[in-house]
Amino acid sequence: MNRLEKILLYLDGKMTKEELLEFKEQLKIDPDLMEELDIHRLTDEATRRDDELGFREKLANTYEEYENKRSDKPAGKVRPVYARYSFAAVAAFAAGILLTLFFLHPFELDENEIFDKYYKPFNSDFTSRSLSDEHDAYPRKAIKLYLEGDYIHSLQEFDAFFSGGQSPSVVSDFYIGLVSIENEDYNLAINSFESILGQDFSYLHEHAQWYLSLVYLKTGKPHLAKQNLMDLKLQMSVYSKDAKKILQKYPV
Amino acid sequence: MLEKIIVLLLGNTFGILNSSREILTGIKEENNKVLYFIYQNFFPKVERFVLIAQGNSLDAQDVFQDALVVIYIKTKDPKFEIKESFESYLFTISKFIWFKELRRRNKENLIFASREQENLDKDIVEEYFKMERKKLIFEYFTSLDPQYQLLLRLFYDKTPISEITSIMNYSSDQYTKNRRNYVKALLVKEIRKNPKFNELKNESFRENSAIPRW
Repeated sequence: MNRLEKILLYLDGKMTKEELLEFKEQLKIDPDLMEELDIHRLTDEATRRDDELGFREKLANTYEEYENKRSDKPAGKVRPVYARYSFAAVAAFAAGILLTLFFLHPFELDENEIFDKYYKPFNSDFTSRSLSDEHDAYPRKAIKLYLEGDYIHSLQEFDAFFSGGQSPSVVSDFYIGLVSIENEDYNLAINSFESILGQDFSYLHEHAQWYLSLVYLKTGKPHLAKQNLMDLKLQMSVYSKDAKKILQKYPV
Repeated sequence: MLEKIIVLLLGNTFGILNSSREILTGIKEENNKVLYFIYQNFFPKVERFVLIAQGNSLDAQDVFQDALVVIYIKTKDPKFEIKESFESYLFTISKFIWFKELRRRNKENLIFASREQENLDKDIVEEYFKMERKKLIFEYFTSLDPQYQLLLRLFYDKTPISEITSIMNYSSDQYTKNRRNYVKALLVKEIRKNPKFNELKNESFRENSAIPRW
């Protein structure tokens, strides 16, 4: 049994008494093993933190509600005292620069430009085990074609898959949404992503929400985009940073 | 003014203004009214502090949310209690988190962060670092192939292995186990390579601590 197998067996609580005793003895003398075990334990906790994520979502909603009713919003960034004195001098210089920029170059990106800047096809190292199984309950071939950049055939493959009587799933909805973006069928993309968000929380939730935000921007629905971007930012998702940048920089 | 009077009246009606203990219970139970009360009464102070200390409104939201999550996790420990008012407790944690963030951003404010750390319970500091490490790990987890995420989730949910093999459409239970081991090893390897994770790992309440604290 190798080191990793021992750790996983220990965390699964499936060691025999003898194995357990031996493993505990090893932990005492091997700090590396202890560290590795701790990282695995923390990884388990981190990927199972549904409670915490649920609480964060609740806080995000509470904040939205509070912010909408709030009457004491700060007018802008409150500056530290030392900064206030230098403000006038800097402001005059900055105003000159900003005016120059304003006339030379448009200040803000429009929704289409934001989409172009942030949209990237979904990246995955998905590998298909077998493409020959006609009874496969998973649209592997369609997904594979998407990941290879063959979007038209991917969509055809999805059609063929569903015409065989298969029911849509979160995964198929997700990839149909992605393929639809590439084929510029934004309504279908919106329907697919919204369908995912309307279901129970899944591991594809935040990816769907990110692409949905971008499609909302592309189709002139900035307020819907903003709501979703706020969620992504507050949920500490992998898209938090980009969502934050869009919300900070651009008047969505 | 009128709004404050209404809040006070509502607060008393729901009995949530009386003590820190009641607020902590509300957090533990994820009570919407208590959470709203907390935002309404304590967020402006934290926001003002962050704005003054080189941050912006979004930073303030992050800090406030993180502070509440740390407290939320701690409320699950039956022994957890606070000796001061909830407001000052929350404010101290928020300051500590913000100084840590500033330090991360520009490597300054070390002294302030240390000072705030001294004012905090050791456990809450530990919980904060643990939460940060978990956030980082979760980022890695969500960047994994969705198939791999699903595989690990099924294991965490204690789904029987034969069922996992069937769901994942793998050829055998042994293959499923091997795949899981591979994905976990991959995840841990990537995490260990991240400098921020190592930085967080070495952040210690105790000086010269050689033993990881999580």
